[in-house]
Amino acid sequence: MPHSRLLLGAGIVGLLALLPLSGSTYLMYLSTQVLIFVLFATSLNILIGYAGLVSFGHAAFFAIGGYGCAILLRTYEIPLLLAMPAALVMTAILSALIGSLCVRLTSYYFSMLTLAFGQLIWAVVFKWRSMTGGDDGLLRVDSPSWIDTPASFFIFTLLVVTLAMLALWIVAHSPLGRTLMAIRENQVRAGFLGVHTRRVQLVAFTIAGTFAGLAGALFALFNRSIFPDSAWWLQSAEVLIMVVLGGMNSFFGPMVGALTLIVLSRFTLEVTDYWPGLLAIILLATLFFFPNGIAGLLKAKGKR
Amino acid sequence: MLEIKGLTKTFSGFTAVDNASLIVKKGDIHGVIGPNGAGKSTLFNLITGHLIADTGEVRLHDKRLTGLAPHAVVRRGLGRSFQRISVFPRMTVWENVQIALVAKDQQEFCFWKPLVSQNEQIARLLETVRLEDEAQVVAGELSYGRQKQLELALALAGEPHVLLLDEPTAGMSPRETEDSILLITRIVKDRGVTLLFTEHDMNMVFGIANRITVLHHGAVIASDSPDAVRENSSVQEVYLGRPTH
Repeated sequence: MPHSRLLLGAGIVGLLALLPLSGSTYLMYLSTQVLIFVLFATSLNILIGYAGLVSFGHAAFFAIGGYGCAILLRTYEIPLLLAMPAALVMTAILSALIGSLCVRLTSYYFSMLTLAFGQLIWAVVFKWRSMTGGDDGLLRVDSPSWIDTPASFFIFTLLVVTLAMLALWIVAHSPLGRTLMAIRENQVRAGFLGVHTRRVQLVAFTIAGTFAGLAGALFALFNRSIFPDSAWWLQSAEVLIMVVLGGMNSFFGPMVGALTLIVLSRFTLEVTDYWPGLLAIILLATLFFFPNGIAGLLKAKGKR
Repeated sequence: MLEIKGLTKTFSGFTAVDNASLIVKKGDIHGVIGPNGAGKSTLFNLITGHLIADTGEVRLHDKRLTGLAPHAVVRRGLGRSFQRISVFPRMTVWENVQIALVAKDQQEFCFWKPLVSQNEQIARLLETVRLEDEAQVVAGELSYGRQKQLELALALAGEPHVLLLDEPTAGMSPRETEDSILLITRIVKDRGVTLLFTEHDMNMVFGIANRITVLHHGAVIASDSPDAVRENSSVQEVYLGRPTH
């Protein structure tokens, strides 16, 4: 089974790599955006789906990665291949710091705390004008020439996201991933098997934050700019909706969610301004009729 | 081996455990009895670090356990089952035991490689508690007695020196009770585990224990061999609820 999945994954990546042959710039942009959000949503699902920790502030790490990379690249003129890893290290450290406070609490309190930290990061980004440009954001975040075209940037994103998704897949299926699920099911029992439950959750929080940071760094490069909006709670909500819509009980669910949401919003916005209304209806339908998301729906169909 | 000295725990004025002391020797099957509310579960929670004692201490192998968090207590060689069933209900029996082994091998932080199932060890543990046929059943769907067996497997996975079982037969049918008594005594003997357990079923306690401690209002009123406890006048008075003649 895992082998056939791996083959399927490799096949999809292979097909995607052929996309630039279509010559459509629009398709390149759309696909790149989808890929970035696939990574962002999957990183969040490590927390929601596996650890059962619902974060309302995941965009904070997306923004930290994005701003970190943009500032290093633009303000300090550090080459991308150094700036990106450095931004990730920064995100990892901040994730660990914020996480160490958040995992002390559980359920609603955890969620509220992540929301509070998310807004705090937003406020820092917004106010620290000299470093972040405040509400003007950072413009002219230029990629090096080798990924300067939509097609080459798409290929670069495809490569990075594929490797990151592979890493997250391993995390999800590692002893840590399984332990997270056990803690979600029964924290007291897990503790009395000898598991330091909070510390395991902290490692997961740090991993999730770091990969969100990677998505954020790609996002800043993709837009050649970054704004405080990327840390705002709406951004956290959007990625949360992707996870729920796609299905949090499956590793690939958030991937489907990100794809569906982005493609749907693009097409809807072309014909009507009522996208938020439609989104609300989709979300309601998901929660009432297929709480396991699109992935859950597909799985159920497959079993029938 | 396990030494409990002067443990006291009060909850807002109510003394749940009152200056309790007892010693569990290696190889003992040590039962703790007492009427409902005598403080048996509180005593267990104090030993395992789920509650923090006001005074007193617990030592295992002459090392202090008091003040350690539950996960650290387990690492010192204590295993336990809970009075109310505590398994991972949405995972299969197999996966439940797998988690216990991940924890025992301290692999829970390993995120850089996929989980490799220790099939042999899991199978052996399931065989020990006679759940080999239910390996792929989701734990929450097992019967009550079977879930208790699974709990036992989880506790044993850590290869504890001392096993604490909180009412191992509570809520079981007479048939299940009998089976599980046989199972527990066999495991204790085969594995050379020291057993400390609470139980309300007197037949079971006097049937298998070689030491019995009686708690009343949180205080230890007797800690002796079954025969001596049976003859103890204050035990008869306060615990069995009838005066001696």
